[in-house]
Amino acid sequence: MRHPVRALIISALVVGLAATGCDKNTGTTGTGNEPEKAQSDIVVDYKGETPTPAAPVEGATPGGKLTIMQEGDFEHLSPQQIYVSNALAYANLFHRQLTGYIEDAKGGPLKLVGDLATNAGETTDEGKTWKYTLRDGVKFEDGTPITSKDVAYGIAIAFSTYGVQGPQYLQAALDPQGTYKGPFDSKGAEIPGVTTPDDKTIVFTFDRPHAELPYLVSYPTATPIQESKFTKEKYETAFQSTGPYKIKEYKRDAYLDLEKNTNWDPKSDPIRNQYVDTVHFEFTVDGESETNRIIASQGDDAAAIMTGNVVPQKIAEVKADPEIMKRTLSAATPFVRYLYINTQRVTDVSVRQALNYAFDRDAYIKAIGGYDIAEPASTTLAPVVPGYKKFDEYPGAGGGTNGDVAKAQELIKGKTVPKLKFCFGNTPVNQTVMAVVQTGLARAGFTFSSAPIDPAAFYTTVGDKTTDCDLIAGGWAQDFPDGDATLGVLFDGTKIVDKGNNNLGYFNDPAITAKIGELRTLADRSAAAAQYGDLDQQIMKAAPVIPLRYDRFFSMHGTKVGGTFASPLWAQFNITGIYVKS
Amino acid sequence: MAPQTTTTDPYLQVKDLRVSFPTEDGVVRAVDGVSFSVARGRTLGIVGESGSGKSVTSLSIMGLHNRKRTKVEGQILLGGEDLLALNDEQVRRRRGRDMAMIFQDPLSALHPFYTVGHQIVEAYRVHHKVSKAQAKKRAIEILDRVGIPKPDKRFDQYAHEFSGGMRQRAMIAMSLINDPDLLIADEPTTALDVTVQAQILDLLEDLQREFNSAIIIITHDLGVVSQVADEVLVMYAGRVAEFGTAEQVLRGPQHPYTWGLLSSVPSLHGNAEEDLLPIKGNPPSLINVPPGCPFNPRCRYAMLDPGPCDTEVPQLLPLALSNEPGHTVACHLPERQRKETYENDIASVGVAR
Amino acid sequence: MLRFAVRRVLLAVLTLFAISVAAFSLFFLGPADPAATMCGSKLCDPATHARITHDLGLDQPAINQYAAYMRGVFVGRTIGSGETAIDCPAPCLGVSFRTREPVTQILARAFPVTISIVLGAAVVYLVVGVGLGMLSAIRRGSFIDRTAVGFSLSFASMQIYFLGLLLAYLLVWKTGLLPRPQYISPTESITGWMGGMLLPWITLGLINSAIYARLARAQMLETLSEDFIRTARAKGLPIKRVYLKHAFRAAVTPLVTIAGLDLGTQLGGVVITETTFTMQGAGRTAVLAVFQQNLPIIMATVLLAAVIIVMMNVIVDMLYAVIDPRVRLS
Repeated sequence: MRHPVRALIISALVVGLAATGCDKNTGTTGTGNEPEKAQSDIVVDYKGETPTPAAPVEGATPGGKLTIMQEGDFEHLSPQQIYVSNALAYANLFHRQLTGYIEDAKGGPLKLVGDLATNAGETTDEGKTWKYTLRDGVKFEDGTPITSKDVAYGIAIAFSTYGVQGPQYLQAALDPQGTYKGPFDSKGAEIPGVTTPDDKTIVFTFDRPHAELPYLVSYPTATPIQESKFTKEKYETAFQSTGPYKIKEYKRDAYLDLEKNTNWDPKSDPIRNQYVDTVHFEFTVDGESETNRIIASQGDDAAAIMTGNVVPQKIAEVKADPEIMKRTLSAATPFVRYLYINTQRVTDVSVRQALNYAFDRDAYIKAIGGYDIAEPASTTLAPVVPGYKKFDEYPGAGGGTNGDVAKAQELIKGKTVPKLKFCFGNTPVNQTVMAVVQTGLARAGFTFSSAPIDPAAFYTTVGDKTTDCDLIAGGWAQDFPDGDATLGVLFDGTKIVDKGNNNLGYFNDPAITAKIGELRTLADRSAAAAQYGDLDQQIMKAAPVIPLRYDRFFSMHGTKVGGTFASPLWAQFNITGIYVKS
Repeated sequence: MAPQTTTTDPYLQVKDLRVSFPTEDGVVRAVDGVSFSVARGRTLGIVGESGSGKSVTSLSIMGLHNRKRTKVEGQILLGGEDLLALNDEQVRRRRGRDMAMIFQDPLSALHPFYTVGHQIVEAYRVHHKVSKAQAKKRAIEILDRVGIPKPDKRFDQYAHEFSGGMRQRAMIAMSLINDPDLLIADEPTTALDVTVQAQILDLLEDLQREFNSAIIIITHDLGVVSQVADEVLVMYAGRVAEFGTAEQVLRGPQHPYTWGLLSSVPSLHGNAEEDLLPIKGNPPSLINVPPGCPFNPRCRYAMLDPGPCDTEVPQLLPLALSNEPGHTVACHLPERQRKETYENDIASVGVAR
Repeated sequence: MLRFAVRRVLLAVLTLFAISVAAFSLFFLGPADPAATMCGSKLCDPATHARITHDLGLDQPAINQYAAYMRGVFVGRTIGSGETAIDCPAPCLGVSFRTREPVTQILARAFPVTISIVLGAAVVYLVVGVGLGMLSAIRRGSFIDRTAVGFSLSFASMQIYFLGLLLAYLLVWKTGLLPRPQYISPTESITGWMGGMLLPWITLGLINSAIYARLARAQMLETLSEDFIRTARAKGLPIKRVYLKHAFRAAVTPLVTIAGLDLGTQLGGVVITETTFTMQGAGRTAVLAVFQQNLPIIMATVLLAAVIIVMMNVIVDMLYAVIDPRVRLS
């Protein structure tokens, strides 16, 4: 999934000002957040044992108006186009899919359950065919019952122009050759691998096992669409709701008002509650005003949440006030940043390990904005990934966070390491931060040539197998909560192609690749999860990356908001049980 | 009407006028004890270099000086009423009605964005409660009277569409539309071609005959003075140097400064360059006026070491030897010596010939 | 006058053509790869990349893309083919790469915001700025004059984001004296619109007032020393009439040109003001489009801004001819 794109002119200025003003804080920031094990496990409800309606939230009161402040409109709300994290989080209010997640407010295991379907998916052949049966009582907002044909049509849309911006996993799995172009350009053609034997049943058939399918159909890719009601690009602002809320009024770039969807039946939904009467999205705010308004918490703003992080220049003010701190949410996110080491070029594993030892984590975190919005990383998996294991192969000297220069020097003793080409996206932030990274690494004697690359061309350039970059600054966020969605993408040697690589370390270790393939085919993902932590550690021993940081979510809500918590999946508020205190 | 007014008093009487204003460098004494009078139907020419105080005198009469920054003393009696004793509003009401003024450069003196007719109508209606149509009729009449052809067309044109002479005629029309008793013309012909100058001066004379107004013509051009003035006032450094009828001052000038003026104007006869005897030096600063006779540093005949020219301020006195009633001069030189010097040195050069 | 107008308009059209070519080629020849941006960092295999490129029409030669674009502006066009085609009637400025929404619609949302900010602020600075400047010229050297000069000096050097954020902090967040800045359509609520616009108006208005006060003061001082002002006084006109009619008319004329050109530039988008107050006007839309490499929106905002500026130039020229009779003649 992606971070939202935002206009950063003012923010960059303000951050610049704040950075100079914040110097005095840096002396006291030893208080790094413990990388918590937010989501160690995942439970996939293959059997359909999750009860409906969703468990009530303790102390919840019905009614009221919830305001959600977000800088700028959603890029997309047409279901098959949704891929950005905030849209994924808040689309839960109006889009339902075959499967969905139940996140636990207290940090318990994440559950993948049947949403429109009765369970997370049934397979009898280790993942080559999957069957889903729709629940009773699921309807569109106009009262029309949802059939499996509508789900299939939604998936067909995902293949069309109206799905190019969304995730492509399901499409790639169903049609590896990419011949099907959706219901318009491939009119009359069958959707490859999708059949609907009756109105309640949808069957997926693949040419090889796809154990991850239950995750893939949790994306709005698998949101049903009534063929007669699909209005192409107009569907972005006039979609049919299947969830607890529907559009009352949508003024693009200004606001989106939702009201209760009376054709949503709580008895058909194991995930969502419907406490508030109306939801008001406000798109004409920025980080500064969001923060100010939530701090003030006046009027409607008392029942508001902000989708951005607390702006850096306000963090000190927020932390100084215990009343406001009670309203903040601070949590790990799926976003991890790395410095990939191109293993085609830096072939000596001890050099790669030395780079890991030399990295100055503390200086880097301070440069990026402090421990409230990031924490040092030592693994490739984000703490929220099921199966995440906390380990540190390259601890700092004396247990500190400034790296271990002596160890690094020892590892490369007697070796001549050529000047390393250091590639990064040419953004104002990177220009300063990457210099800090280089300074840290240089302590062990490494030398660099900086290669800032136009951000738009960055992934095209470094994703080319023949790239001459030695070090590549990049990042990743899992697309679904499964170790394979990180390790299977970034470190699978079989996936290295000529162009468009995600394995930017070009890491091809036969043993690890084999292990990734083995874990990938395990049909029971709950069971598979536990093994990814060890695999992660095995990868880190080979050092194809320097993990730089885990991004953190640090946000606030108004005084009258209850029943919400930080969603580890989307780095947003979980709104499935949110209510307004009366 | 004020009680002291009698029919025999001149229309304008200026008595011991003193105008000064403070600046960062000191107090400027622009006018220092000037007295004169102009009767209806008469024309006074005020002559002097720039900075001699002639324009300040006229602006003080009109009340156009900056009242906050300027100190004006003495009396300016207009029809027997002291303008300096009136408030702003009372002066304003007389301005344009009882006394009017025309300026040197009619192009810059007329508003560029309003038609000439509009500006004349405005001048009329500010003092007369009449309809626009009536005012327009009157304006066209007066435009016609000052010799502007096709006045009804010209009425709707802008100043920049007029030629220089026509512009000055329009200015004159605007100043005469309220039939003022006093007309002050500040260098009315300086910006004009020589041929046009004469026409304008003729026009002024004509109009004076018709309206019987008192006219002050301010100029540095003795030719103009000789053409239209009945009396001449020569000013130097804010004081009167010489006063008399045009005949007296131009034919028998008594003050070395007047001589200087006369001999620095080229004559139509003889060698222009050889004939000229310009006044050396520059007019004095009005902040530091030289002691004694203000002209003494530039005067060829000054009696110095011992004075009195650089110690005593000369009084404006009537001539003692000649029978020239009304001819006064402020000079320490003995009258006889002045007469001789003039006849020997001056009468042969410049226009004085 | 007619010939003057025709010549000006022809020149304007030529300018616009050049700008459109320049804007288009800058984007096209630049290193940007919108398909890659849209593709994101994930699964952007060459096939997907090629598909997006084709969908956006970016695989066509530049000249064809330009021709198609310009044709759309004047006669409308159909974007894409088959069942996913979008009918885009004239003036078609293309459809957003991201949402496939016609750009005309996007701009129709953005421009009222910009127009609201700009015109409201213009009222503030033309009344406050010009008024203050003229008053201080008339009362030269007085307390008012010195205050006005001080005001000009301090505000003219101020930045919108600084003053805007400061005022927002003081007047909105700390004291609640002003409503929160936001754009509410005047068709929905006139008072809401005015309330939400107050802060941008004040901010942009004050900073521009400082500049206009300075200009107006200098202009008025110059005018007051003109001969025709003395003439007006010599006619016996009341002093108020001299100031308000004769002096004002002459002093304000040059300001009309400056204000007209300023308005033109601002109507193209007041990026910093819009960003400071988070208002989705033309400027902010353009900036966001640059971040997203959304070519049609960039093109449209650049073109429209150019059209506005060029048109304002023509209007100012003609207006000048109307208000200054001396120009009319030549």
